[in-house]
Amino acid sequence: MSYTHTPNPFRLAGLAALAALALVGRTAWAQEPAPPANDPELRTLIAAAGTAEDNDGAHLVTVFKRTNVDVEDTGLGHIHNHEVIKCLTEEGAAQLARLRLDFDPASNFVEVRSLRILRADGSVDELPLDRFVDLPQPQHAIYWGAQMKLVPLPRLQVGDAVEFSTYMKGFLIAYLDEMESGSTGGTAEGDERYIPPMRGHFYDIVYFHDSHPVKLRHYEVRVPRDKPLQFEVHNGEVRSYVSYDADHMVYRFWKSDQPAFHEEKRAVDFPDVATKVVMATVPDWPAKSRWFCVVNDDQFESTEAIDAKVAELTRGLKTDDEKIAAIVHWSADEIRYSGISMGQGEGYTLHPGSMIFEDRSGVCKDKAGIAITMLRAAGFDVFPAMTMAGSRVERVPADQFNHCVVALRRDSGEWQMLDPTWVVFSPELWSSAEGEQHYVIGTPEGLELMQMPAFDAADNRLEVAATSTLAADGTLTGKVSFSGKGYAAQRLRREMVHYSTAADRQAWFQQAIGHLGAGAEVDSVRVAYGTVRDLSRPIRYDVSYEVPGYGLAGEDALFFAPPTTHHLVQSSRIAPYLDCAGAKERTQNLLLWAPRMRRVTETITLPSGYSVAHLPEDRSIDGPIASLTTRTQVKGRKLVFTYELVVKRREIPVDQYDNFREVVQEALALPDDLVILERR
Amino acid sequence: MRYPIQYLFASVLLTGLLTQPATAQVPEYVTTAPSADAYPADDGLILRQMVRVTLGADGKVETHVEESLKMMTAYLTRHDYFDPRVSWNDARSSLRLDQVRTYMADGTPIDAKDNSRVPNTADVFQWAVPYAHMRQMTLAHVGVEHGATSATAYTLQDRAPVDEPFYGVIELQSFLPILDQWITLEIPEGGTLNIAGVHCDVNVQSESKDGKTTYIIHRTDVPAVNLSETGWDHDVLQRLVYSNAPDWGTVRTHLARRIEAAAMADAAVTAKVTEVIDGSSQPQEKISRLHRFVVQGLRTIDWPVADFDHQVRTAGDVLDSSVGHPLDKAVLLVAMLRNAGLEANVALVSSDPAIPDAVACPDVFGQVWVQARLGNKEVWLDPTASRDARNKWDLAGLPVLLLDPAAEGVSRRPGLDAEDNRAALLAEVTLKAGEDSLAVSGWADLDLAKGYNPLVDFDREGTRHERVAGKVAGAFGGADVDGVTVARQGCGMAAFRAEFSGGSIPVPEHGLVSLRLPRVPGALSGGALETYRTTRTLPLRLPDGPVSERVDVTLTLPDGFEVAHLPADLSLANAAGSVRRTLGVDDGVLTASTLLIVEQGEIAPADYPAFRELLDAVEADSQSLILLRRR
Repeated sequence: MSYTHTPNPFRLAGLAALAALALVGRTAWAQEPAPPANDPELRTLIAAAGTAEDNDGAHLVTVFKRTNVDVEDTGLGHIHNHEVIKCLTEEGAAQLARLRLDFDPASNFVEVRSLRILRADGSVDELPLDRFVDLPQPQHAIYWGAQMKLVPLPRLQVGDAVEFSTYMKGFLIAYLDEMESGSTGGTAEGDERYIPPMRGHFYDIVYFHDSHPVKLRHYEVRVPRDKPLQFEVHNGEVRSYVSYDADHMVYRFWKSDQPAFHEEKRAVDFPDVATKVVMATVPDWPAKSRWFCVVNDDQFESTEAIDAKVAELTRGLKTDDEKIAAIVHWSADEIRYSGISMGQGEGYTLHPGSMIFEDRSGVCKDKAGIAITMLRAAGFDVFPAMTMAGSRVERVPADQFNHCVVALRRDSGEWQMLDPTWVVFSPELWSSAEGEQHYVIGTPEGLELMQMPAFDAADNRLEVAATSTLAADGTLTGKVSFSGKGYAAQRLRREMVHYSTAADRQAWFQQAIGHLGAGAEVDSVRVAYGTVRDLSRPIRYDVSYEVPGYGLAGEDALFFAPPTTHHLVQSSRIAPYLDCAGAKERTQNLLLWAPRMRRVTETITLPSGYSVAHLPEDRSIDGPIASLTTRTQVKGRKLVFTYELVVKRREIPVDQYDNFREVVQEALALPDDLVILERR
Repeated sequence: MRYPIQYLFASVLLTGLLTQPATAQVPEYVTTAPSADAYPADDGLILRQMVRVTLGADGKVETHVEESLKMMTAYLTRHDYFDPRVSWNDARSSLRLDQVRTYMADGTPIDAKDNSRVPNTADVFQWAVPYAHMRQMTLAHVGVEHGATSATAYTLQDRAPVDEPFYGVIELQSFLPILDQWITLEIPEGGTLNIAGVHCDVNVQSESKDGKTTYIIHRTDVPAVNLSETGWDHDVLQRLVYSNAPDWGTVRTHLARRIEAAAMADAAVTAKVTEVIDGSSQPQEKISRLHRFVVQGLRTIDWPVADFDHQVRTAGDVLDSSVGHPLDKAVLLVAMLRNAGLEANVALVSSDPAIPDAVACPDVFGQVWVQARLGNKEVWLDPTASRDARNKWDLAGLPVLLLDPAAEGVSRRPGLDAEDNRAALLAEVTLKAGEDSLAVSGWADLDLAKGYNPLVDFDREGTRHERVAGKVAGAFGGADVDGVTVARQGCGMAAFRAEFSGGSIPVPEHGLVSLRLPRVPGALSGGALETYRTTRTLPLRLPDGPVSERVDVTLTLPDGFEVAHLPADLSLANAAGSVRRTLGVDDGVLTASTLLIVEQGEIAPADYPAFRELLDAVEADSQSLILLRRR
């Protein structure tokens, strides 16, 4: 599959942005809160932050958090934080058992510069600054050696406040410090490793929400005059002010009285909802693209062993598409997702192909790296690309990426995107769960931010085909098959090998048929691992079952719902839409990752001696985001039920949630609308 | 000490084995290992598992572990089985890492390099500076592919003689087959080591020479256990328990001495007690407030206390740090209760009723509780959970080691029986026909005894009944509670009447309305117990033990409606229990009575079909749905 992309027009010239912002911020100075000048002023702010009752039952409240950043010519930022958090409940005291400051020793430095507790009784505890431990951060699957500084706090009483200031420099992500080893540009000795890999440039993403209320969040950044910042505010309003002196531009942002952030069920990621300012000195995305290309281009050297593996994988394959698929799927299936650090350059540098090949393990960028190495060895024109899975990339060219993929330039010049991380157990080469996703390809010429097209729900279809027979005593016997396309097919495979042990696969089918009622019996379903791994053939599971007493027998009547109305596959991994339409309203968009379709065809043989007295009402709902169509027909002694539920987009906007909810609620109510048979 | 498959380690010493060129010969157990075709129902094989625990003459313990795991499906790679996490108490032990190697599918050996041995921190310890000595290392194997075999070997060594008896628990099973298993225990000659199997008999060979006595357990072809059936509860696994402590009294004295020294209230603890119980005169309320403070006001570090060697911090330290593992929280709670003038002691509890009484090994106890006393009455408190959620009924039938110097050895809490562990719902409901819906109103009497009682904690506000009543009323067409009258409230039973109205059941155009017979709050649930499983290979433990549930409903039918379907009367008795149900309609009034009795708290696989039959009899649509039809 290949896609043609139009470069995203997201680009904002720095000066134009400044001009616009000057307008926004021109009267802001009068309201800009000053930091407390002394302890009485600080005490006043702490008192004004209120109690748990004043803060909607919150356990903590941030009285203020102020960040001052000084950016050097090299792009190195010196970050000074000053924060006061007030304890509102005993649970809040437990939450403030310690402070945690994350850092990566390879590229980042952090220290606590002051720490004290302002007790509610008026006393002050000055705490020693050497009372901390450095420990590895909890790491899962990505083992890059990130550290955390844990600072224990003595027991807080309700009403106490913790005041602390920290200094940090460098970046939390291990960048590429082997870049540009020339002049230090005035940087202090020993700071070279903290300089960002895109030397001379600075970016940040500043959030104004927290999991508890924030009374004031203030952020100031001072950059060299010749490095103006582009910035943009998202997901709310933020006050701002821009000024300058002979040497620097100074940008200030602040926001008061932010309530606690509560994530709604299956909401889009925090960056898409929380109020934030995205800023960068990088002029545009092509610059980022060129940089990403240059820092990685030495990583894709093949070796004899890799060449041999490529030859083995592509032997006998005739078309480019076949060869690409073979290499991408080998990278997907045989490179285990386990990221060990290669040390210097870990982060946005892909591991050398030879290392990944030997290790047979890596994270997304390394799976992409081995695919690029092998595809290049096979003669393809391939580059790495940065992308953001799960949320938007805003137009300001700040780093907003959490994932790495492969971009292959076809002979036509079109880009084909490949993702060996997300197509495990999928015949796809780019996951249908990554539609509408932004990405930047690293090329020598530099490319703009681009976006994947939206996918079609029909391409992510769960198919349920069923035949059944209802006996006069209510016993239902039947067969049902589950198959799918796109993301649904991948999920059906992964249910068997990622979410079920080999010994317990049968339970998945028992659970599915169990939705027909207690007492269901399911014949053994054999699912061989080899079948699940074989991507050349569609996956399909066939299940035979019997449910005694499924039909409800009355004196001269029999009542039942078409079995497939019970939504036999309810796994949230395959049908997430079924479990997120309960709330009457939402304030955050809902993310299903892929558009979805559920298509059901079912034929039920009715018991002899009965005639149909009532059929369920046919449904037809069609809205901008979701639709539902059902039809029940009688054909002789057979009843034919068809059902199609469509969720048209991967993301359900708040203003279209009503349509989504109506469709899902109606679908969930289908089993209540019974077929009535009367004895003739 | 525990030695589960998820290894325990001590601080790391790396031997030359780790970095030597990968030229080693492929061991025979790897080259001759069965293929995936021979084990289609397994995700992999543990080709070899060796655990050797040695008590030296110097009083130090050394543990050597080796394990080889063959990959057959992506389940193992997906769930990090080739990146095993090694946790250890660095205050006690050091580690020598002997081998982290992979034999690739073609036999090529590849050894882990420095970047594969990753210092880590378990999630819970990110909150706990006082437990910074609890370390973890991830061993990320490289070269793993389908058909590859990992080989891991390490040795733990005590830094110094430890003031502990020599005891431990070793799991003998896994969700994967173990083809070759060797467990070796070694003590200085002349000592005594008690050894027993849990859920199994073990054949122990012993010999004494060179000043040492060695006990060897060798097993082959240990079958896999389908842990998915139990939600990955390891209590069902066969285990080996050993101890050189002569009896439980010795262990109790050892632990009690440590806890008594820690459970002293300092000035800060005393001040907090005064603050927390201020204004309460009832002892029950004082207990409740102090318990609630320890549960909510300190973060729980949910980690096996055996891994801390049952070491505790003082109550003052625990309070000051605002965090504690269950035993530390128990120490604080005991100190606070005693400071408030109440009698209290720590108790260790095993969640598995099957422990070997003859082997005095405290590691068999995975839970920590506090027993407070009010005269002759015991109040059981879990220092990590509210009393509504966890109370003495959760201890029924379980082994307890009360760390009270006056207590005897291990005791067992009284079990529950179905007659007393019961819930009853008596409801009178009226349906009135409207234009397109039925209006629902009525009352319900609820008697929720023992394990069914969701309102065990002291409640001065008295608002919690309404929450329970609200759930019951909600089942009647979404009715709202108008009022609650409490008849009885205590740990043993909550009994109250809820009056409700405002319920509404829509009547579709075709006039068919379905009503489901109500069940008691907290009823046995086939969904929760996964009774969609048609068979089980492992016992199914019921959350509240043996139970009885009785529901009596009187339903005044709406004018203009008739009954279209009623579940049939039923009288079913089998090996698991019984269900009796009667229904009838007389003069527009429907009465339904259901009594479910499950006699066993643990359902053996052989009895599981009978148990399933019982639940089906109260949950299946044909057994629980009433259809009304407009005349």
